[in-house]
Amino acid sequence: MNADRLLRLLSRIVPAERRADWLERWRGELWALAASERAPATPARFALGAIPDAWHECAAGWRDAAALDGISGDLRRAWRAVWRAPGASLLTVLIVGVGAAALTNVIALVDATLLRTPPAIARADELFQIGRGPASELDNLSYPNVRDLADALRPVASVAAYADRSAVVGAGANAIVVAAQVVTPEFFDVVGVPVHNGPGKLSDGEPGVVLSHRFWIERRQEIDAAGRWIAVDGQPTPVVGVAAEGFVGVQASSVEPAMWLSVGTALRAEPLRRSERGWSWLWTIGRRHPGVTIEAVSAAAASAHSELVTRSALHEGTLGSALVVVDGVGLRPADRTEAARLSRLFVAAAVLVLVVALANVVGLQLTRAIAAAPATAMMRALGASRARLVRGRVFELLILTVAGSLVAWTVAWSMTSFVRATLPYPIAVSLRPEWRAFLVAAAMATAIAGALAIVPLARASRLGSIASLAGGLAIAGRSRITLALVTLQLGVSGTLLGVGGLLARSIWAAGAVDPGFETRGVLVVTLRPSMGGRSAAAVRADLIQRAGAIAGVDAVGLASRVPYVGGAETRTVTLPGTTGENPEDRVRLTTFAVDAGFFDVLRVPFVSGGVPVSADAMPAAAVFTRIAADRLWPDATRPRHLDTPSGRVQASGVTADMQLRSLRGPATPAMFMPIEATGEKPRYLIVRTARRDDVAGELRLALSALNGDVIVTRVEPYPQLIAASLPDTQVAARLALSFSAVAVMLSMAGLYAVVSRRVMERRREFGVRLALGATPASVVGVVMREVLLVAILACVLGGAMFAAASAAMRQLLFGVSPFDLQTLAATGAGIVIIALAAASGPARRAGRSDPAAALRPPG
Amino acid sequence: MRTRIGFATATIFEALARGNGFGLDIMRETGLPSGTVYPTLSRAEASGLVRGKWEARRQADLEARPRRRYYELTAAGHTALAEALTRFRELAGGHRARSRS
Repeated sequence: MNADRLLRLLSRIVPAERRADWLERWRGELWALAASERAPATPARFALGAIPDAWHECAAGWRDAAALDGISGDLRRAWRAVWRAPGASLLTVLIVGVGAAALTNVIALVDATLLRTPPAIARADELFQIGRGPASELDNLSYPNVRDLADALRPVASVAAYADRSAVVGAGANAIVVAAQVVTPEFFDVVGVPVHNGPGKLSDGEPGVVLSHRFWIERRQEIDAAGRWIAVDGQPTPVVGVAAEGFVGVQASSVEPAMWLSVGTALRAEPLRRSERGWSWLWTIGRRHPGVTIEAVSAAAASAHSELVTRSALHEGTLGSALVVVDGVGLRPADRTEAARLSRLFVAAAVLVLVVALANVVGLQLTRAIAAAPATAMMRALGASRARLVRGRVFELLILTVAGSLVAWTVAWSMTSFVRATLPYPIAVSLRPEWRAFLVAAAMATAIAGALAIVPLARASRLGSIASLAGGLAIAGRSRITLALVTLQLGVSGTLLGVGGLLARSIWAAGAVDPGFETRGVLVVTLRPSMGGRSAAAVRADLIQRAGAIAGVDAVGLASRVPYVGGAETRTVTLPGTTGENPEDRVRLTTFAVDAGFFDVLRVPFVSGGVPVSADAMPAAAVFTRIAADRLWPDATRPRHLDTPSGRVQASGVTADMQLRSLRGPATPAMFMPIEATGEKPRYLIVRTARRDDVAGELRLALSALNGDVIVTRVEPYPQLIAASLPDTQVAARLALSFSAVAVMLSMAGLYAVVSRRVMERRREFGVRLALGATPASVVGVVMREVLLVAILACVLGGAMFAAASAAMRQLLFGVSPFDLQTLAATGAGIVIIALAAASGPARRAGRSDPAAALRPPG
Repeated sequence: MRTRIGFATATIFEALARGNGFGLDIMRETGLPSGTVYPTLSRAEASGLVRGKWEARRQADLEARPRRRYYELTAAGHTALAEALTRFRELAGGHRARSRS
């Protein structure tokens, strides 16, 4: 680049009023340099010295009092412009607020689950998780295996274990269910969380509980009044301490526990878990000793696995093929993968929503800039530069995005509960966005808005011509493109609305489905067995008597498990007359332990026989579903009995086929055994009632007298529980409906902007129409017909996208066709109404066009 | 208000005081680069320490070249230069005294 060209380039940053003199000054010296015999520098080197001089001139220009007045004046004008159009400004602020809030919540979610370790844990980088492999599906261990592993790893690490469970705290009508964790005695030492207000040491063999700081604050007075004892699962339990404030456990993907129970406390009702090596229920963590690497821990774990397996054949089946060590805590590996996948989806969706939102905002601003063309022309005529005019518009946009960011902060905080409810897994850590997440989102919103605004606003500033002063307008020329984009937006909104509607109908249908037994009018009472001294038979009888005495209760039943609630237990049996070596000779039966009332409550239809007459019958009797019976005894003439490890079981009855595990799956082969014969305390009580009032409260009260033996934890309508068996559908429905709400808002804003521009462009046409005798209503009709056409095109486009989307998510639907005409029709009508509502304002303005002003000739 | 000037500025002012009115001459006299001389002259002109004047256009037009700008110290510029030189002498004297001790 030659010296003169450099000087010309640099002169662009010198203020205009000084530019000519500056350039001449340097060119004069450059000429003298070239003409001199003893040049102190080459022309190029000499011209480089112009860089700091040009910068000095530029900075001096900005420091000029006239320039400062310009900036403050532009800010004041921008503020007034925002206030003069309150509707559009409020809409812009809301759009930016919602878009930035969504991004803020997503950033907070990613930060809480993937980037930050759970709070209050000391030196979290020294912690690791250990369990049965593979690493991607790290699995838990049994209590005896945890103890053996802790001994084996003692040279390199300290090991502890925990398990999630619920606990019933309090007694009688005041009993509540809280989230808790069972922990080994070393747990708080391993995680480095101090325990205050007590000895702080849990013991495996003795009952004891450490409270969370939040629970302690809520219940301090009553716990102190009780001498620092608290009723847990109906048994008085000593409080040994309070965990440090903010500690919520080591896993982000769990419910925040209210307390940590010793193994002795938790296993009072389930002593077998302490000794059963095959019963894996504890998640295991560890802390490396100082100076020990994670690789050393992995090697030690591998060595421990080999040694333990060699020592006892019992270990082989229960320790898996390998013990895997995963660095860090916070999320289990499977949850981490799922969280990362969901986070990517959330971030992509949130950024897309924000970009589309801001594009709409820029469109609104462009419309306002075009509307202000006469004022712009006046300012140009008075000497304002294009850069200054663009600066004013950008200031308007920045004021709106800053205001929108403040709204985003409020919205983001209030959306925290919604985000938590939308996730398919619980989260213990706080999801409230911190100021860092908010700053990132606000900065992105402002930067994207600024970047999107520069070019279109600069183009709009060109409209400040003499023609604009006289009332004519240069046609923007891109209104068809923006109209097409708005049509696409409306179509996408319709698709999301339709998809959300289909999913919502699926959830409703799941609650109304007929799984082969009657669920309407049935309440399910979840019970927690406690350590009372009475026999199971006495407790069962008492439950039935007390529940049956409530007015309006028509039938009562007991069960160890209820279909769709509390998981399923299966047992593999061998076909009669076979050895079972061939897989085809084995049948997997879903088993339930129930009483006779169970069948009455659910009105289970019997094909043959009935419930066992006596629970003490020998051989034992059970009821089978038809599909199970057909599989076990294809020859109906042969006796129907089954040989199991615990003895022969006779089929006392066969029910019709039922779906007992999945609403979408085939009929379930199942076996119903008498609960009386199992000796188990029931975990569920079901009642049938025609009452619509609060029977649940009466049930809780009536059963509270049994708190020494069983504790009521929940009472819920059975259809609601069945509907909740479709978690993927529920999550997808919430996401689709919430995104559709945002998309509709954006589409309305976009359509409003485009129709406003179209109305301005056709102002003369409308003026001519009115001058020739057309009524304002007819002019409004012209505009609305065009919008109706856009809405119809959007419906066609949206219908095609809806068909593709609903076919792709067929597995999430239930009881409704992917091409449901009712949903399609309702969505189409909704899109038309939305479009007409968005365009009504600009259409009315078209009807109020002034024919005289429109017909005034330009120039 | 008195203006304190630095060493480079004082060098440039000294060159101006010796009659070197054009930036190029100052560059030759002081050995300072154009990126130091011209911005300093611009700042000094804005501060009132230096007065700049365009040469006669007729002369430049006759020679078919751009005009050059000629600089000279104002009274305030002379004062600032004198004060700076005094300051530098005191600094140099103090350094020599310390070196001998």
